[in-house]
Amino acid sequence: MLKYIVKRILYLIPILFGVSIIIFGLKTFTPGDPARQILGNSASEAQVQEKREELGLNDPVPVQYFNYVKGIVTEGDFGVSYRTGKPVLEEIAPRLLTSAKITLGAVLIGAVIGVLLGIISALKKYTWVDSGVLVISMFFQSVPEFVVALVLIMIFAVNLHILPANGIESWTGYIMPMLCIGLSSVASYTRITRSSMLEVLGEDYIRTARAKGQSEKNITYHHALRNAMIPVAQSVGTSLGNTIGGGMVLETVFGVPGVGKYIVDSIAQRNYPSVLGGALIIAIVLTLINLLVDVSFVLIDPRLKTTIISGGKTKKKKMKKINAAA
Amino acid sequence: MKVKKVMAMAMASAMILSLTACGGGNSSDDAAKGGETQSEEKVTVNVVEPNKDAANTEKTDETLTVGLASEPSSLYGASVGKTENEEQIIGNAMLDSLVKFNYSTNEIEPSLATEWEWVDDTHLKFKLRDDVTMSDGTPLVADDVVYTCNKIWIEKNTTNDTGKYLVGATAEDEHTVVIEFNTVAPDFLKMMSWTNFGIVSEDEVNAAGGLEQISTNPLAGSGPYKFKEWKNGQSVTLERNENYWDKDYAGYYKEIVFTFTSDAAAREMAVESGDADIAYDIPVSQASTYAENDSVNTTIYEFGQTTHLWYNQGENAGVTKDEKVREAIDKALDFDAIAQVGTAGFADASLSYWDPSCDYYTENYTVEERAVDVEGAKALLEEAGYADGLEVTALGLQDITPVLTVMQANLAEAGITLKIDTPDTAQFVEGAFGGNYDLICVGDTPAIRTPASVMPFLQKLNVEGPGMVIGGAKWTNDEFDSTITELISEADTEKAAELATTLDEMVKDQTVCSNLYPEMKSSVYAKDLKGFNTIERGFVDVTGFYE
Amino acid sequence: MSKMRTPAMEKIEKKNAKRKKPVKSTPMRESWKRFKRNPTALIGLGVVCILILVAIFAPLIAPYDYKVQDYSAMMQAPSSAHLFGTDQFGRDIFSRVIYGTRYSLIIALFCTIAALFSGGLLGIIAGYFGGTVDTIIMRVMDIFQSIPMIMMAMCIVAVLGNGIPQLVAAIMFASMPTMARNNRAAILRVRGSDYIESSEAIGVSQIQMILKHMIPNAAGIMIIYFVGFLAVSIMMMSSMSYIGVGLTAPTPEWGLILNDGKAYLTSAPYMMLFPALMIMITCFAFNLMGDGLRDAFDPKMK
Repeated sequence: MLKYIVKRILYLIPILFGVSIIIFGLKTFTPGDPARQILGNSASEAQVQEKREELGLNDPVPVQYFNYVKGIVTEGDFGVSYRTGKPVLEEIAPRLLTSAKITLGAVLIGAVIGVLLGIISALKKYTWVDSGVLVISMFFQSVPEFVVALVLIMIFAVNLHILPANGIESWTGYIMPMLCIGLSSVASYTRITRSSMLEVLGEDYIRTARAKGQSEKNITYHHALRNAMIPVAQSVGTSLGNTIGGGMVLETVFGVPGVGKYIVDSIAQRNYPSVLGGALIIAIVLTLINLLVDVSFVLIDPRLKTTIISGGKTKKKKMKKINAAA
Repeated sequence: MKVKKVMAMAMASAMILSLTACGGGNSSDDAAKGGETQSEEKVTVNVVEPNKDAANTEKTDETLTVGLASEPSSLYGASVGKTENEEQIIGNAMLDSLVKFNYSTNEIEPSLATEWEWVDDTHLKFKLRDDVTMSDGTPLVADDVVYTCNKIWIEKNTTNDTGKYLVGATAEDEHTVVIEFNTVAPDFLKMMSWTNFGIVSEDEVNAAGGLEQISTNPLAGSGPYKFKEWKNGQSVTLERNENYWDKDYAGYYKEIVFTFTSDAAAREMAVESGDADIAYDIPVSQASTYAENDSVNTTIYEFGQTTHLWYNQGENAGVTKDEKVREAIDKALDFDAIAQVGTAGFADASLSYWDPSCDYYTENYTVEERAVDVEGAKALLEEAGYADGLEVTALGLQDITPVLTVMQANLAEAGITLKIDTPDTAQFVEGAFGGNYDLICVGDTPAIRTPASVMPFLQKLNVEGPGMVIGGAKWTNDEFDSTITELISEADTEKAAELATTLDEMVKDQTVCSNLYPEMKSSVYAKDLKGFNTIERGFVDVTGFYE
Repeated sequence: MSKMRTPAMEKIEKKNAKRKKPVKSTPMRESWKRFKRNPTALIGLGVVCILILVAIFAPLIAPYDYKVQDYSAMMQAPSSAHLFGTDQFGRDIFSRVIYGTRYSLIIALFCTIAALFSGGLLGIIAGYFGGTVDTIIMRVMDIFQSIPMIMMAMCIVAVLGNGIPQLVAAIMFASMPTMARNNRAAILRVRGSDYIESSEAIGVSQIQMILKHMIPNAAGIMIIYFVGFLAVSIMMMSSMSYIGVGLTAPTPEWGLILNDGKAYLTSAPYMMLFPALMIMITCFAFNLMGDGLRDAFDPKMK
């Protein structure tokens, strides 16, 4: 088990190298001079050149990359934001926490509603209830998120005055962003729950249980649901990561200082240390979350140990299916 | 309010309706339409003009919440060589300048300085008040001004306009200070009223952590509010300076909280829901729609900036080097439509290069001259050898897209294909510096005559100081150059007006640029608020509000 | 159902032939049967067909030119002259939305095809060859997937600039890892089946194997991703338009029209409502169809 965890953590290293190389490569080809962005429009060309020299932007790209990696490896230094002059890590940490809170809540909302709907449609398969659930769950997946967000603000803040329109000064500010992201993910949870429930319900041991005369309720909740929960939970793991870094649109509408908006703003400002730092930290968080999900599965259900740890192939296959569904 | 509720409900219900009706394609659209047919003619009764409310001397324990568009990177830009809109809006509450400019009367008023005079063309002497206390309780002395000028404005602002024209400051006695400039421009006095020229003392700066820290911990200055807290990414809180020296302009609110929401619609809705008191920087097109809303106050006003369309005549220039092409484009443009879209109908097309707020403004075009003349344009194009049409690129920032969209339609009539290029800011700046455009849409603020603001988009030959011209014509000639220099150094308003007219004629003769419209700014604020005042560049003064 | 050939089935076969799928493959026919029984999926398909017709006949349906501005009719509420009202330039929103069908669908289609080709090819190669090739490709995809999709797309637009081809490239790169993963999984499933193993034993060449056996058999799953991704790319375009990157005026893409209308949410909600509805209806239809396809092709798949 420990060996497995260490292996997975070591696997982070090539990922981080890869991510940083990709972003560094893109950075090299992106027009727009960071030095000019820092100094403003009145600065002379000589001053801009001086700044470029100071930031090391005139060095050959491999040298820049080496220096960057050296900074991280030797001192854990992700660089300093061009815009504020503060360490990137210091700027990202609170934003990451905010995004993580919203993501956690959103995934909870999405998973709870999605699983409920999934159970309903699995039990009532091929009826109008099944279709109805499908349509409802897909509704929020089909509307651009900022439209949902603006309508929510209009209803809950402007007309009903029960939630703040933006900001996260109080905990109530988290509700609407969570709701928005959560609702848009309901469809995929419904789908996963439904199909894994159907699959489990068709298996031998359920039939045996039925034959033994166990009540249908018992079968549904004790056998089918429990087994159907595994892919759902795994999908929760994967979507946690994606939502954390991809929430810039809602973060913009709700005025939430999250990591997604931070990175998008940094791209626009050519604030490369922040872009790089943000991308690397998101990659780390993503990998760790997935590891945590896998490990906690083994702890909850030791039977899965073989699937997850030893046979990498079986596990990957399973994950792939889930990824596909999500 | 009621109408809005109906709208919201109509929208929400339409979405739900479409859910059930999605099988039928567009059938749900009919259901949605019912709710919206009541949209009436544009009513502008709620638009409040700035600078109309009397000052207030009362105080309250309440908090004023201000929704800004973005979080500034510093709160005292002069200390890090920056000027950002949000930083200036916040900084204005904490800093006092030597003089104050009253934007409703166009008069310079005393602030930290009670008297001033030009010793000669480049030396300006200020007599300071003796009853001003800084944020740390120490009295203001001439050395503080000397420190701020020499150590901050000049040393920290080598790359921007704050330090560009300053030579240095010297203290004559405890309350007299002389500031020296490197260029002759009487309007530098007006410039001294800007937030960037706020005065701090060395002790304060050191107590706050030195010049390195002061930009994020700006506990300095003598303003009506003091810095309290900056929650990164969330809010900035200022608290009232209870010992403010100017009792007539003491802060009304106990605290001012600035929050940051970049979506303008969401920012406005925060005011409507009561979560915020003011929403800054609402795009004028959007604000014009809030003017119909009874639950908030909307203010839409000109702030002394005119948008021009410049024709590239520099080294990289293409077809626009040809005067006939420039004239043809100028003729083909529908300036009324452009102004209508650019200002949401709140201002007319410009009839001069200069902004109407300038004290040397004269109309130099007639409305007839500005009318669309597609035939004339076509004839000119034919003369220039482009009878089969031509393609030009227009560069602009993203928020100018609607205006460029109008131009695109106008020019299409004359056979000119306009390619709109609205990249992100960093790429815009690069394109604007490099001259990679035929046309460029930018605004300038000529209300004050300094080298940075009089025709800043013409390449200048004789003007001192670092920097290059961003955007603009990438071109000039000696005649333009000497006239601009004269205009900047002319103290007499009447003579300045003559020079301005000369320049305007020159622009018109050679079609150096097309004058579009005076830009508008707008804000939305709670119904019960009064005291709407503006500071430089049309920023709303947060300290003026009261209930 | 009987095995008799009904006219409906003839039609299906024609359709299948059009899609260049092997007519004789029984799984396909079975899938279609299952698909047909699914009312929501059929509704989805129906709406998609209507949308395609709208896109094709846009010039006939739209009463005005989508880019003609009329300053005498700015921001008018929906009326008989302007079914969906007019925007701030006096352009007819109905016409823009109708033409938008064309632009949005085509751009989404290009994005999807590009993503399927690039990512799909990688996935197929990885899945087919396995071993080191598989490891290398999938490790690289892991790296790509560690960057959030929309962030990747934004970085690429920052490099390439605005425009339709650039947008397609951005969305393609951003979605490549997911596509590769999905297609690899599809190939792996087919690869495990008996007949592939037996044809391998006979000695069919690799290229032939991929083209003639694997792709057709994995096609069902690929089609599911294809349809699903159409909805994803429409949503992504609208997100990117919101942030202000990707397309430029006056392209009547729905996301862009929607974003134009956003400023007038309170006073002229129709400017936002109709493009939003179109996006919703379209994504809804694609999602319903995709879900039906999922059930039809692979009832066991999650």
